[in-house]
Amino acid sequence: MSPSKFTRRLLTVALVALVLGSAGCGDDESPSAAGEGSAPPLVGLFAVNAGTCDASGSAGSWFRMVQPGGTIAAGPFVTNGDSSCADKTITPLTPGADGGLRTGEFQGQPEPPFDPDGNSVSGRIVVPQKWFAVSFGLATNKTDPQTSATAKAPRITRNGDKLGGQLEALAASWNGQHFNQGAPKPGGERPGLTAGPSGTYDEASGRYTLEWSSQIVGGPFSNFTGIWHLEGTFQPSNDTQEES
Amino acid sequence: MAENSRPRGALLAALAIGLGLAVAPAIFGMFSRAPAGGQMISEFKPYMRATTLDAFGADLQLIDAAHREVTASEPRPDSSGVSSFGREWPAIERDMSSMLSTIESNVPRYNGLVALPPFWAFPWFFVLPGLMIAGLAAWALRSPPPRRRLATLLLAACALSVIAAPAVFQMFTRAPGGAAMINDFRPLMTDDNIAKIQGSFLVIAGAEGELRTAVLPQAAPGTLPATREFVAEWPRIAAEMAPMIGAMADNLDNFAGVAALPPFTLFPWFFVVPGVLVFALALVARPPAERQLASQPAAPAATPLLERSAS
Repeated sequence: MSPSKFTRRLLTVALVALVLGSAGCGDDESPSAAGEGSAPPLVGLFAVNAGTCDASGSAGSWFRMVQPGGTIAAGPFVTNGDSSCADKTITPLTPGADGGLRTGEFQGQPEPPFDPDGNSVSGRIVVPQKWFAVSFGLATNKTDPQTSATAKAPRITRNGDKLGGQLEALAASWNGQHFNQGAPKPGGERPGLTAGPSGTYDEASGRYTLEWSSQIVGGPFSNFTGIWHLEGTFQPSNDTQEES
Repeated sequence: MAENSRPRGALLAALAIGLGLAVAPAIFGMFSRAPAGGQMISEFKPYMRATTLDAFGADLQLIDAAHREVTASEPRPDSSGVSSFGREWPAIERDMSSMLSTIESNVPRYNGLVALPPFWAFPWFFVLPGLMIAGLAAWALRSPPPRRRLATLLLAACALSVIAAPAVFQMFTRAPGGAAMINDFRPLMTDDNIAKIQGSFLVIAGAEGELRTAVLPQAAPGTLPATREFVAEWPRIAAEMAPMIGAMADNLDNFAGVAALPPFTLFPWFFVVPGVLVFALALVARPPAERQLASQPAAPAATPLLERSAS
């Protein structure tokens, strides 16, 4: 074999290895994304416990938004005058028609996704909540309504009591606008403060917490970051709890 | 040979100009920037109407009336959102009014740009005439005098149409308008300004929420009428304001692309100058008519100026 042929073959092998390697690294559904050696997905319903607020703070499921330039831990956070919490940067969430977030399938937005006043009518995951006087809703869509990108169905994996996975199909709708709120974004990118999902899972009780953040790219709230915290009980789908 | 050098040089120069025109869009990145400009023009359309801008102006007045009412009321509402509104609204109102008047003053210029051929087609206005000029110049170079005469005639006609294009599309009036609009929008279409507008939106929205949920329920019936009207109208105002902010935020890159193009004022001259040059070169390269050629005692042989290498 001439040196040039040998070099070419060596380069081809290296290129194939690089492509295969990078494909593995970019897959956020891979076990490594959840930080586990083998990560069976939890397929079913992540039933949402309603968020509650009192003078001492909030509990259950909630949403808050970080202003551009802020941090997940310290904000500054957007104040929602419609929040029922004393800390109005937190908007409590209550379970929607499906009772929570389903994995392994989409909970698409209805058509049309808004009422005539711009309130979201996407109410399968959580009940649409008022935010700046107009309701926002959540859905998981095969085609992301903000970017028109194709998204994968939500997938949550576990390693022991730790949760990981991907929620790229998640989108919030508000006032005639759509905001992808997935982590990662459709296509696998994690702009800015986009992180997670991560959380905890207790196999005996099925209790879970799930949290992720997603920086908005484009639109009126470009560079704001939504933080989502769900907690409740995981209910496996009828056929299997953990799809291997 | 010496008598051939002048027309040959002229045609080679025309060929170079034609090729220069054809590759200019690639050099200036027009193939990506022009469609980006077109997208921006399209997405700004709903906000470049006097009626829309007047409605925004009326909304600012409505919020301003609520602000005056809230800041004059005793006791002053004690909430952080309303306090921020009281403190920050005058500057917000000033900035937003200034932005609206900047946009409004550019509506005629915007309409001028819209009336131009579609932006995506701009690069091809250089490429196609450039290739035609280059092709005709090459043909003329390779043709013996009788056909070269026709080729230079077509070259001159092509040059004249290139010269006329800016006038036909009214570029001399519309392009400077576009340049002025780009300059006026330059301070508006920045990350910092978008962040400032987003911040202003939060201040207004935050105040509205507290006025609606905390202040008005405590107020005596019939009081704070402007505030009640602001609160009642807020969903509509937000629904109109949010997409406008979104359109601005989404077009930052498109604007940057358009702003990086050569100045719009120069665009007509990108046609006129090469057109005039090619026209002059075509005249220089044009061979005399056959009878003139025949009457000349030492007429050169009827050969092409540039032989095909294979022939």
